[in-house]
Order: sequence, then structure tokens, then C-alpha cells
Amino acid sequence: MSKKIDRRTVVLDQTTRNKNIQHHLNELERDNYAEVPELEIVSGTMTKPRRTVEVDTSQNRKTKARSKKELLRQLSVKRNLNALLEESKIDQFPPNIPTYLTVAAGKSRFPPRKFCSVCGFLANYSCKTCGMKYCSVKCLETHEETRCMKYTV
Amino acid sequence: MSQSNQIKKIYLLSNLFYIVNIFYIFFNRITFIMLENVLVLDNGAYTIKAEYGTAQQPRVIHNCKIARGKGDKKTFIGDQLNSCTDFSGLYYRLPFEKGYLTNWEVEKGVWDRIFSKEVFNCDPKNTNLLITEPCFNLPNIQRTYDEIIFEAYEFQSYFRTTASWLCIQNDTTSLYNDINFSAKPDCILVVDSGYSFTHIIPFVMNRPVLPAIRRINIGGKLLTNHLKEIVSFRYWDMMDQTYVMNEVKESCCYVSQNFLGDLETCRRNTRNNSILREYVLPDFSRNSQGYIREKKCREESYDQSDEQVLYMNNERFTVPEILFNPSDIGMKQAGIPEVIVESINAVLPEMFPFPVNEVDLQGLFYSNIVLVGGNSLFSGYKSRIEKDLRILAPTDFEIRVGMPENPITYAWKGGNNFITMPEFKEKLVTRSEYLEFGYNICIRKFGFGNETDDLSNE
Repeated sequence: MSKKIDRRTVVLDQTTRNKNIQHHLNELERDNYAEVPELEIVSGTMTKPRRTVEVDTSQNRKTKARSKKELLRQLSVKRNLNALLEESKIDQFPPNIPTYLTVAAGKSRFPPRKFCSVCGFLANYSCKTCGMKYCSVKCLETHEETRCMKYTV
Repeated sequence: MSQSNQIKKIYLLSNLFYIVNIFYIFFNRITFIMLENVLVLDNGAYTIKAEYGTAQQPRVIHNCKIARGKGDKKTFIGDQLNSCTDFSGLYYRLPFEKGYLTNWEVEKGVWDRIFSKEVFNCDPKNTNLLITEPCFNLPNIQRTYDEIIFEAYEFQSYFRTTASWLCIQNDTTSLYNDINFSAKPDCILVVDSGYSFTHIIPFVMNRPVLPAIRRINIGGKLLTNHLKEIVSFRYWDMMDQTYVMNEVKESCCYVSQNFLGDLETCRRNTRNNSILREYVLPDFSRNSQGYIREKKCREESYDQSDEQVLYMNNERFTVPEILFNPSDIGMKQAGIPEVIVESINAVLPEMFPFPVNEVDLQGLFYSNIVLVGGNSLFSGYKSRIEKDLRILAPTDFEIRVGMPENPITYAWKGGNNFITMPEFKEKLVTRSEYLEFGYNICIRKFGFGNETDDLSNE
């Protein structure tokens, strides 16, 4: 009982709410819900790195001494898109040159519509605590039991 | 809509060029690279569309490694998925992240498989490769493409471009039902809505207008994941069943023409309305393919409690609706029709070395819109874009939206068309050129994605 009262008194500020929305959007980009069990999927076609290899970006690539094996080993070092974006230095390009970072579409001219986070129909109310929308008392109850404050931790 | 003499002149000129080109192609074919040695490979984030130049249709192959989790340790690479019968709980390993190729280990595994004897029986040393990359590919990723293709596979020669550019190598005029224009239009707007994101790309005279390109960070993957999430929250836990949910999305979802009206229909009676569909989930013992059940059967089959039924109500149209209103899930971006208008307005006459009238230019874009990419297959997608654009665009512009019969393989078809053109030979970078000049030759020849290829910088 006391837990429920605590939850109702906590109000998340706008920054945290935005952060939660962003977190949710990032979740939607995932390939798999659960982590892929790494060991099961290693195929024999690629040389597997024994230890992490530092990629030397300043290396002069015109020297053709590098072997195929070495190339593959370099590539098997996993780098995510953010690391690659940083490495490509496209953020330092002059502003008149369009890049990946500048082509993202801007905000809509129209205000966002509000949908119930539980049933998906139009919603008129938002949760006092987390700001998610709901349409009826019934949906609010479901929301409080399941979703409210679940994303904050 | 009136067209100025200037534009008409350009049309006549391009018409003339077209005819000259046809003759040129005819004489060139004799000395041209043998088409059976050209492999056209549209390297999509979800599927690879590839086949040799002599074929009419590409093969569509999953661009991923898929592993069966828990106990069964089988891995399916690319086309091997066709031999899979149990699609429950598959783990995906995709080479692409947010539309860009980051995981080369997986990609090389898939390519090794499709170049092998079992699939394409490809000998890279005698093969010319035409491959696609995403828009605004990062320079360091492009470099890796070059390295992999020339150093790891040792292809004879290759050309790298974007899928949307290949799309406009098709005869786009045949997509519209009128015969007003026979020549290739000078201005085409491609809306490419794929697995990772949606790009709006205006082309002028076969070249992309880079400052006017726009990206919406919504693609098929996000839609599937969103559907998966709301279904798991409301009905069954499907979080691990990405493959199954993708099939549900493909068979049930549609783009609503009257969103609020449909929503009201669903709300009035949530268990019996004209929109509701009953999707029978596959159980992978008796049926490996889910299907939509006829409503009549409901009472009869009520006793068969082992059939798992998913009720698709407002989920059917609220999911594709995100493409039109990303703000519905809190994304701070505009939807496709609004971004089309934004993109067309961003094409300025100052960007061209020749004088153009801004109004004529915009009119040309509005009347030459091409929809490609897997998301175009949602029913009602095309008419919704037409409808929304009619509201947003100035009233005196004609709006023509065209969609190819198969929007997924359209880029491949364009590529297949392009390899018969003489320009293809000029664009190819051979392995010996690469070994001599390094990746700079690729930057110089391939263009798109680099500032050098922009009309405004000429």
C-alpha cells in the first residue's frame, strides 16, 4: 500500500519524460528482443579475432603489404554506427555540404496527436506521474499496474 | 498547369538525346562487357536482390544470419532460410545498423554464401559487380566496401551507387497511366521507404539534389518492432517472435484513408467490426504459416482451443500510420507527405547552372513521384500519399504518384537496365585501377554521396 502512495507522489520532470521517449525509440531499433547467444552463431567462414585488434586509422592504405587475412581481422573488430560516425568526422564538414547528420527531416508543423498507451484509441488524459496518455479509468489502472515508471530505472 | 517554353525545349532536347542514346547503345553492345559477367546486387538491409545481367527477375535473399536459439543450434545464412520450417524464436544477426553496413563479419558470411556454387556460382575475378549502398554512406564505410570487394573478393571491376539512383534508370513514365510524356522526365522525386529508414530524394537530370534530400528515421523494422510491442502488451507475448510478427504486419496492416473514422469504427465495437481480422498464429507443428481466419468460422471453431488467434483491430492501421505521423510514437519528425513538400521546396533554382523557373520546377516534381521500397506494399499507401499531398501542395499543381508493380525489386530492374547503357562502362572501377590509385579513384568515379557530384557545385 505504501508503495502505491509513494509512486503517486513522484512526478517526473520533462527532461526525464523526453529521455524515456528517446529510450523507447531506441528500443524499437533493436534487431532482437533478447541478446543473441554469441557462441552459437560463429560460422567458420571468418577468421575469429583472438584478441581485440586496434585499428590504426592513420595507416597509409596505399602500401599493399597488407594481407587478406589481416584485412579480415581488422574488419571483424566490431564498431557500431556511432563509433563510425565519429571516425568519419562528417560533423566537421562545412555546413553547406549535406551529410548523414544534416538530412534528417525536421519537426512536423502539426501538433502531435494523443493516443492511449494501453488500448491505442484517442486519449484525453495524461498520467500525472510519467506523462503517458490514457483514455479511461480502466486503462489508467492497467497503465499504473504495468507501464508507469517502468522505463525510469 | 501551364508549362513554359523553356521546359518544353528541355523536353525536346532530352527526347533527342534519348534517341541518339538508343543508337549509341545499339552499336556499343557489340563491344560491351558480356552481360552474363555482370552481377547486379541490390544490397538491402533486410533482403538482397541479386541476379546476373541476363536474367529478367532477381532472386530475393535474406541479408542476415539467423540462428535458432535455445537447444537447436542451427544457423541459417541468406537463402538457407527457405529450408527452415520452424520460425519461432529466431535470432537475427543483421549486417546493417540503422541502414548502414557496420557488421562486416555477418555481411561477409552472407556474401560468401551467395557467391558460392550453391547460389550464384560467382567467380569474382571474372565478374563485374554493380552494388548498392545507402544514401549518404559514410566515407569510412565506403572505403571498407572498396577494400572488401577488391582485396577480399578480388572482383574484376565494380560500381557502387544508391538504390534510388538505380530506380530512376527505369522508364518511370510507364508508371503513370497517361501518355503525355514519352521522354524521361528531368525531375523525379523518389520516395524510398525501406527496412531501416525512408528517404525522399529529388533527382534533376539523373543527378540527386543533395541539399534537398530528407530522411525519416522510420522503416519496416521499426514498424514490426512497434507492432510486436503493442501486441505483446495487449494480447500475447510476441517479443521473441520477430519473424512471425513481420508476417502478421505484411498480411494484416494497411494504410488508412480516413484514420480518425477507422479508429472510431474500431472503438465502437472492439470484438465485431468491419476492420477486425482474426489472425491464426502458426504453431509450427500443424501449420507453419499463419493466416487470416474467416469470421464465420469463429463460432464453429470455438471448441478448438489449441488455435491461437490474434485479434487485429486498430493495430491494423495505427502501425503503418507512423510513416505518416511519426509524432504518434513521440518521434520529432514530420511524416512522408509533409517531408515530400519540404524536400521539393528545398530544391532552389539557384542550385542549377542553367536558368529555371521555380514554379515549373516544383510542378515537375509533384507530377513525377515514384514510390519504392518494401513499405510501399501496404495497401492504401499510394492513395494516402496522393490524398495528403493534394491537401499540402499548392492547388494548381498536378500530382502524379507512380508505384512499380514490385517496389522491392525496382532498383534491381533499374540496375539491369543501366548495365546495358554505355555509361556503365565509364563508371566501372577496375581492380587494376584500384591497385594503382587506391580508393580515391572510387571516390572520383562513383560520386553520389560525395559533395563533388552535386549539381550546385558544378
